[in-house]
Amino acid sequence: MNRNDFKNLLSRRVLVLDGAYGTEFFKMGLGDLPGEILNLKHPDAVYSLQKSYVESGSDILLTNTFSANSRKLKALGYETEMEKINIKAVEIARKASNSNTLVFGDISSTGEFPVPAGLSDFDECVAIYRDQARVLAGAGVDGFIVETMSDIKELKAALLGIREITQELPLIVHMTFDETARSVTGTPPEAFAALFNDLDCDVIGINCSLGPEQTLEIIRKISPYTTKHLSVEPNAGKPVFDGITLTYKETPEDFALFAEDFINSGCSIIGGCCGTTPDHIKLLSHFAHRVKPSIRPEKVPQIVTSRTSWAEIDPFLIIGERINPAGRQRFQKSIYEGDFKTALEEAKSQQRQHAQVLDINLGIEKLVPPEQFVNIINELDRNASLPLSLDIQTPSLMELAARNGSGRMILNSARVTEKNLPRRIGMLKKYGGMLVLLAMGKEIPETPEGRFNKIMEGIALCESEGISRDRILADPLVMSFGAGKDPAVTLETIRLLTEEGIKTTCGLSNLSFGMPDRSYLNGSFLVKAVDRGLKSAIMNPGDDFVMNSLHGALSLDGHQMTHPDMEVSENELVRFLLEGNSEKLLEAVKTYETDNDPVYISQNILGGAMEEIGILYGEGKIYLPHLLLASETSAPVFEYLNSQMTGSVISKGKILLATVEGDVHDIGKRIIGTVLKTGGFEVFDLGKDVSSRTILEEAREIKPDIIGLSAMMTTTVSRVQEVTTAIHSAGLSPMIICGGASMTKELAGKFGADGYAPNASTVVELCLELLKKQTGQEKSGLDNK
Amino acid sequence: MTAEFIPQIKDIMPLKKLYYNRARIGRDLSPNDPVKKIADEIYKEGLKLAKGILYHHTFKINDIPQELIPAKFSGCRSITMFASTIGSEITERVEYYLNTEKILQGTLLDSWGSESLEMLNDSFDEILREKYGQGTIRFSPGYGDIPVSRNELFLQLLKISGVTSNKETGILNPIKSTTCMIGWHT
Repeated sequence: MNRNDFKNLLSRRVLVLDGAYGTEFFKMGLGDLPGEILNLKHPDAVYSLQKSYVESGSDILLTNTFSANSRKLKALGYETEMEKINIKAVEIARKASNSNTLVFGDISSTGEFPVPAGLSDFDECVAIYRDQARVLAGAGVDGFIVETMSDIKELKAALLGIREITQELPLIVHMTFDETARSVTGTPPEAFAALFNDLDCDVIGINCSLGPEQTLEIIRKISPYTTKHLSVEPNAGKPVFDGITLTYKETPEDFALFAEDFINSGCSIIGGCCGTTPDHIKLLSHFAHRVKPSIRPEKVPQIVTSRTSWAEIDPFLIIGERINPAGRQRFQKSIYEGDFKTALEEAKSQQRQHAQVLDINLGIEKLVPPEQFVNIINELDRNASLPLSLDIQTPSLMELAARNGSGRMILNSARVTEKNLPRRIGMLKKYGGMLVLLAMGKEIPETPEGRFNKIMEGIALCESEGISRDRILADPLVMSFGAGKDPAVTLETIRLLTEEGIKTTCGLSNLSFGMPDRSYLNGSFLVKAVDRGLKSAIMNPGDDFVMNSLHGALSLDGHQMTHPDMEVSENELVRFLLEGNSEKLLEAVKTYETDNDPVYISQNILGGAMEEIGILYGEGKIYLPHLLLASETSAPVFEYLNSQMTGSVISKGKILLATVEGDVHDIGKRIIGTVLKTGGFEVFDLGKDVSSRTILEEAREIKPDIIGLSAMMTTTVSRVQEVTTAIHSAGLSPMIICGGASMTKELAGKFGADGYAPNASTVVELCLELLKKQTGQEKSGLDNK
Repeated sequence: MTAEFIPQIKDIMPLKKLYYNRARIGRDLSPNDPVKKIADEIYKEGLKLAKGILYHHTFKINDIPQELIPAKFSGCRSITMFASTIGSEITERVEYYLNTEKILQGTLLDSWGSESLEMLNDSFDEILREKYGQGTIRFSPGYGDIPVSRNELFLQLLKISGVTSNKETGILNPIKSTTCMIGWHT
């Protein structure tokens, strides 16, 4: 089925996906083997499950290849079987299908996020997905689904990899969100929707982590920002363990009740994730097949996004201009050398000054090594930056930056020439985003009509290539007043474009180049431009006169701009931690040294700031990237304080971490490790897929105060019990805590654990409480080693 | 001999939009809207309380008293007559809600019960038509030329006790019950 036929089908009827595989294999007693390996070792079991989904009404069957990418299989010791596993999976799914069933190749995370959320190389990720897609496409799948993705950049890599293999087959892309409506790596649903609305996929949606009720809330956040069909696969609620088996509490009836809500919210594809069974799918399809899909919107509000934030164009978009080394030699030199300290400081200060987007201009591009264009994008991303505007002139460098970004960016800019514009259009199609279109070809037209016509010529070309005019920010060209250029031409061009429904932006500071009283000129021009419909400006958000003029002009038009509240804390240390500024943090910490000893500063002052960070995260005021950044920022300062202590290093306690046997998920545990280290604990991480025997041996050797166990999968969660039993039987007495996607407080208790950490924000507090209990008194954080 | 049809759970689960419409709830309520949350909880409660059963028999036209045959069924050679109910628990619970000032819950559950009963009839209707073909519209006493008071005669013909009627008013007991017929030309 080609993509158009597939989309037409989704406009006419709701399609039902299948349900869970892992939990069903577990019920069959096949939980000891990785699911994908069953394609080779127990194909009949895979067939029988898939057949029952087809009989229950599944219109789309997913191949049993969720983790069958080369990196995941390598971790499982089956790397050489990659092709065989994927081909066999398609064969089994086809056999289980009836004549109308579509077979989609199922693809998910490689287990390691690309930089900056992880350490993996982005292009390597693309290649891994390309390889799996090649095999699945060759084996004859009808389309692809990429699901359970926590990192938006990894999902982008998957999409690019698949599209390198085929542009003909339908593609569904899913992310996973938690109760706070963020992905693990901090992405809000709106940012996901806006980026993938541009990218070359056919359906976007969500699956896993949440039950239908919470999933519905996320779908309703996604739906307004995409014209694409939506799909959804909720879990059957939260897992419940009765001591022997793991079950999900949501009954087929309760689950199916949400089918209509999903359809009304824009979903044309519905299925089930963890804990759902053929019975869930049967009842679900009973509802889904009786309701027609909703009509998707033809237009959506334009927003620009980063990994963690997003901004609407309306009523006005402030693009901060300060990441630009023009006239700042030291800044330019630091960029050549890959030192982005100044750039990051400018990013944070502009954010505080209420910029909504950051313009990135690296100066004389010929002199900047190409990899720095990637590095700065990753550094800003790692620091939870605002959305970006890529003010890059060299097409190949702009493409590098666009490819490596996590958000829906602004490509700044394109001239309306045969050479310049098509290349940018190509980037827009491949990487998404909005385009600043300059009102010029090879020359700058002198009259407003000439500039207006040039923009319309460019828009016509964009539209002929499938880029709607909504995605264009027309730049009417602000010229230097001091050089005798008439600003009235620019203002009239703005008016003409606004009348035509075209959004406009401009490089405001050009106006006053070389002039005295720049603020007054810029501010006054901006007021006039806003009056004529200007929607955005690349400007200095640190210029109070200009900013106040803008807010005044917007207020008179009845608009009020809202700003993300960056001042989440009055504590200066917290601010430096969130800005990732280790140097200023160290400077500030040193001011306490005259009145306090290093132990007190470490435990109470810096430690207190870190505790506040944990609380802010728990309250949803900051997100995981902020938390990790704060942890990394604090590390050298804690080290400094340790070095100032006489003869001893402070540790609140020893913690041994491991992901249990059979489970190769590592990311969550690593995050926990980072947070614990900066919370003052000494952490020993044994890695992933660790047997209970190894954990026991290491526990004997290290003598930890606490053992932290991670289990992500429903099929491995019971290994926690194996470890607690081994530890207790051996007469060891560390406290045991556990966490992971499939773990719950109840399960932790049943498995004999002493505590449960649902996320990184609670783990430090949990460990402190346990240590307090263990010693019968507060340890005051001191264990000299 | 009257047969019983015991529905599967799906056969008594009405579409939410029909339930919402009957209860006059907008379709576009946010998932967090308290009314929607209550309405969905009532749906689940209804499912737990409902005890669906349907009694049916297909009579040759000559075996049916003339006063039970609607004019619209002229030319039919046989008629399937059925009485359906989702039991009395729903009604009892509705009364409990109304008596305890939980008017919203009471009216929601009442609406749900009505739609659930319709769903039961629709499910059986579909089964019949798959078996016998197109047939007439589904008709119930109280509409057209058959007064509701003939329910008594209708039930006597089926010889059942699971659904009864008031001899004078024709009102069925349990309240959430219906009598229906579908005529077949072949």
